[in-house]
Amino acid sequence: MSSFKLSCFQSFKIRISICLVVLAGVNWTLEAQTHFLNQHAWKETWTDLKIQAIHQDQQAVIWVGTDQGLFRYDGFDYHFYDLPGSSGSQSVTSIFESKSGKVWIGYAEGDIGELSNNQLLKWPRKGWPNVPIKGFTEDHAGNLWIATYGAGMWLAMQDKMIAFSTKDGLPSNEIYATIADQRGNIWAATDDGVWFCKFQNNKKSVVKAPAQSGIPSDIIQSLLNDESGNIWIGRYDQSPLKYNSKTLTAKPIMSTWPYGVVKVIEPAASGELWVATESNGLISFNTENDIWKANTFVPSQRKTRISALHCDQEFNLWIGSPDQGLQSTNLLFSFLEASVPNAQAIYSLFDGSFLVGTAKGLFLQSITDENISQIRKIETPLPLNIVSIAQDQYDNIWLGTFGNYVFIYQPSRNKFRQIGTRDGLNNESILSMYTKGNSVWMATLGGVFQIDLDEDPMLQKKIEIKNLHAEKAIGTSFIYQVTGDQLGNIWFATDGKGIASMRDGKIEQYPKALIPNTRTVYSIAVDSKGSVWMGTGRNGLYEFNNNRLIPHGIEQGLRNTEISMLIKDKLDRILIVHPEGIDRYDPASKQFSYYDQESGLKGIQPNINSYTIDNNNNIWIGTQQGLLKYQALQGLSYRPTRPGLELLNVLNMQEPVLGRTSIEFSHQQNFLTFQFQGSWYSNPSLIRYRYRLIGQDKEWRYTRDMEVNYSNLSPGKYEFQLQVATSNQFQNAPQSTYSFVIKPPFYANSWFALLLIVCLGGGVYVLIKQRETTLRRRATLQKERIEFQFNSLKNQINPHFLFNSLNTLTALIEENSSAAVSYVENLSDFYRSILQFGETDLISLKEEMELVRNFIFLVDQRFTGNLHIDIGIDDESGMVPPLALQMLVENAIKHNIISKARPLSVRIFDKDDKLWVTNTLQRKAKPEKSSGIGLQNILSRYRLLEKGQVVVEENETQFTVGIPRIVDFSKK
Amino acid sequence: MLRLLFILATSFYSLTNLSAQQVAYTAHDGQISFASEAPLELIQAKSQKLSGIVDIDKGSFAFSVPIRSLKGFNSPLQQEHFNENYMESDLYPNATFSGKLIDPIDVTKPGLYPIRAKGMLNVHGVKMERIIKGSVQVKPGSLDLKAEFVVLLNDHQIQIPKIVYQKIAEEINVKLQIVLLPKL
Repeated sequence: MSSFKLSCFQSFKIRISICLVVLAGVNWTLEAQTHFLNQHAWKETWTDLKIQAIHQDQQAVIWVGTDQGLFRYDGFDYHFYDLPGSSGSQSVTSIFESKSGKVWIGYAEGDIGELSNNQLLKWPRKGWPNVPIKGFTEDHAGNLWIATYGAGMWLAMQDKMIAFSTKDGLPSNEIYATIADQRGNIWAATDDGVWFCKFQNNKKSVVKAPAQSGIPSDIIQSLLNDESGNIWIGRYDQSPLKYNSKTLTAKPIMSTWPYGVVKVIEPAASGELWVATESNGLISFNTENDIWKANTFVPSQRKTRISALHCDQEFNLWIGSPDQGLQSTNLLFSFLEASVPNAQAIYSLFDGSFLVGTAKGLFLQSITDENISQIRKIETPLPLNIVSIAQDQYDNIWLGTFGNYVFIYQPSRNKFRQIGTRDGLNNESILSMYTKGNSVWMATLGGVFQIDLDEDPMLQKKIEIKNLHAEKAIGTSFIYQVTGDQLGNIWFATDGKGIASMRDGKIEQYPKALIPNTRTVYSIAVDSKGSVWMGTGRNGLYEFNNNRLIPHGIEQGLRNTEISMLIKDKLDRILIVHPEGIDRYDPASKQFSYYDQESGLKGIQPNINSYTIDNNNNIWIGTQQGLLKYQALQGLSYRPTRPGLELLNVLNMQEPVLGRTSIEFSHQQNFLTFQFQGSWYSNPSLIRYRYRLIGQDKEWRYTRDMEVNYSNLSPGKYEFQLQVATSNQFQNAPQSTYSFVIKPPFYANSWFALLLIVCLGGGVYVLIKQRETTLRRRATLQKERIEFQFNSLKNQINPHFLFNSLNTLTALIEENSSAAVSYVENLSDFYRSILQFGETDLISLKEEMELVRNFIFLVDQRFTGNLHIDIGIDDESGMVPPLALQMLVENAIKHNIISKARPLSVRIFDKDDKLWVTNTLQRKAKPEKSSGIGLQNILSRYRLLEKGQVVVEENETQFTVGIPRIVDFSKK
Repeated sequence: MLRLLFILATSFYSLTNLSAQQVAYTAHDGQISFASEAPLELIQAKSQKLSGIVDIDKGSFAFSVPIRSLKGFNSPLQQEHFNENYMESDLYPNATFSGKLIDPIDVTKPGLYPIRAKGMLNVHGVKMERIIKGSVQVKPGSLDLKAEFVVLLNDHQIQIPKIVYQKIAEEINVKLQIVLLPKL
């Protein structure tokens, strides 16, 4: 009966132990291997999810399709992807990734989703009814084909959808799966075999897969291709078939099929197929030379019905079932159940069994025809502590012991022969042995010994043992391991002198390979490129290549420096076995991969160099828990040993911008969020990132978060660089970048600066121009003023005025001497004023009125009452150009007749911000000779001052001039 | 039920070519039984009221059984629980299976034909597409049909209280046997 321990309720890890399972009436062979199963629990918000499809995309992200929608799984959490505009429950029925990396999601209600830039969108194309979408494929032209369950096949041409149904020859419209073969045929899986659909020259053709192809007329439910283009055909209740893409024929992998109804099939690696059955759980089939063997069995716990399988790039098998959710198991490692624990030496025999040496003796570990692990102790003449095992060309087993020399064991006759000191073997502890051709080398704590066998040593009387005198040749006699490389060199791992090699009988020690702080090498592996890998007991891993010593220690990504053994796998990668688990170094990609509790390797506590490699290149390692098997599973294409990395989202001010054609943002859009996922499902907790924003950060920043924020970025060019690794070693790490530009605000643009310069220049130019005008005007004003002053003086000093004034004075002196004195005073005041005010542009109205009164006084005497001057200015504030009013009064007197019969009346008054001088118009018939500057001068002075207009009005009786009163002194 | 069968039968009839060669068979004598093998208890029941129709030409079929006609429980109380608590027989009185035959049968050549039938299994009101394997013994003038399959309670949302887990298996084995005669 199967015995499996269920501890899933407490922890996420379920250790499934598989023994032989005997079910009534069914006999099949199952190897007793256990795989460690990881449970990937859903958060409580999601219940009763039924997983229906699992897919890992090219960026290594795992997508899980359930009856309640699509989820992305990052190793820790599930992220729901809502299908906008969905017609129903979002039950995912298929996931397909095109060659270009586009992911298509098929739904039960006929919806199709497309994932682009981490966004799930509903595919807008229409035509088919609401039936489940069971699969997609892509033809050579890149057109998408859709398999529907109920509406046949659909081809999405650029402009139209073309349906292939029973009308076109399909046996049924219920298509289970579709795939494109290498010749371009589009396969449709039906209840009646596989049918090829074609659309050529606008013509549909549907033909059944030809009989010679070997594809049976059966219920075909799944079609999957592997990396070499072979197609795996899953049938309802018969053996799956492999369709060879070269021979174009399909062959069932098993001639009989006792395993019942097949639910899902998954080709995991070249030569390995996993089949989930309805009632017999999960079975793996392995092949060597096309002979298939069912050899691993995961029991169905309470009839778990597995509904989805997917093997990821790291060889984790993902298992989806309605009742157990999502589980995964690392296919690289499995334990042989109930096998010999604490092995010190293992040797793989040609029949698939093992000889296991422990401190308690020798055991034959075999697997029965029923695939039960069977252990038989082989009785030895003495209780032996076996630390090394080898086999010679006569099929004798050599047992290297700790303390009891070597025993040669002949299994066929169950005979033993001890070799010891009397044969020339000077040391009793044989730590390691290596055979090649007819030679046997033995590494001991007392040097290296070589035996060349001419005949079966069990028949020979005397065995000649050659002491290679390691002490002399190498410098130490403590040799931990002896092994060989592909070139025929023999290598020695020593205590104290590092490594040494032997070729054509010559031993060479390598001083340059000496490891600092330790000279002790426990284990050696030589890769196909000639690098010698050295494992130390405490100082980690070193590589010796072309006389250079290269450390691969903790700093370089190694997790534990206590190395028990180094093993080269068939893909030239170095397994480093230490107490915590296994690190694997890939020299090609320079990356470490780590395997521990997620792969079931916790506390394996291996002994030094206790491993063997079997005929199928599987590596068997002795551990505390028994024999651990490592399969160097090989995909046909290169499988990465590096984690996957995908930049999921770039948000700018919470707006998704990834995938936008424009990567230019305004200066206000400067808050960026980067969301990403690194994928290393073998051990997601190891995932870490480093990132920097070129243009902002000078150094890398390190994080384990899956989100990074940058706020308040100043304008400039940026590049976000992100790397992922499973250790602190980021060399050669996968990188993702995102470049963008934050544009400067308009005022920081060069065109704006240019504009500003132009404006400023213009302004300065205008100012200069204005100033020039002002200066010129001022100069004109000055000239006008001087001219005016000169003219005024000339006027007043002209003989006529002086003559008149002097006449008046003469009369006054006679009549009234005191009046004469005041007349002279007025006259002198008047002249002084003219001189004084002539210097300025403006004088106050008060001063002007004073001047006017002076003038009136001077002239009034002369006209003895025939001149009536009336001054009616109430407000003497404000300013006027000097002599303006005086000039107007003078003009009035000068140009008009003044007599007793026709006296002249002059009025000076203010009205509407102007000062007015009006006089009765009685022109002299012969006007006095005039310099012609009086009124003209006033007009031009006001124009230059820009202080308002001078008004000149003339009618038949009146002559009026109004000059503005200037209240704004700014022009002074 | 008869009405449903009638509708099914007439629809098959009208869809096919109205040729004289049409061969439809109806159930003459059918019985169905189930067994639940739980760790603590074996529950079995049987019904003779399995009815059905098979159209060989079209390759279509329909079967039905009233749930309440299942008899032979270990106790009347068990039968009551079965009908009321688990199967909700008042809401979902019948279990049906209808669909298409995948493998052909030549009724003109007597012999044993293994067949697989794909269709909708409706139990407890929950439809589930199933492919069910069986065999048909073609005899002159009659067909003997036999099939065995498993029904998962979980598939059909039949809820079992945790406490009776030990008494009712999660999967129920169903056997059916039916003699079909040509429809007149």
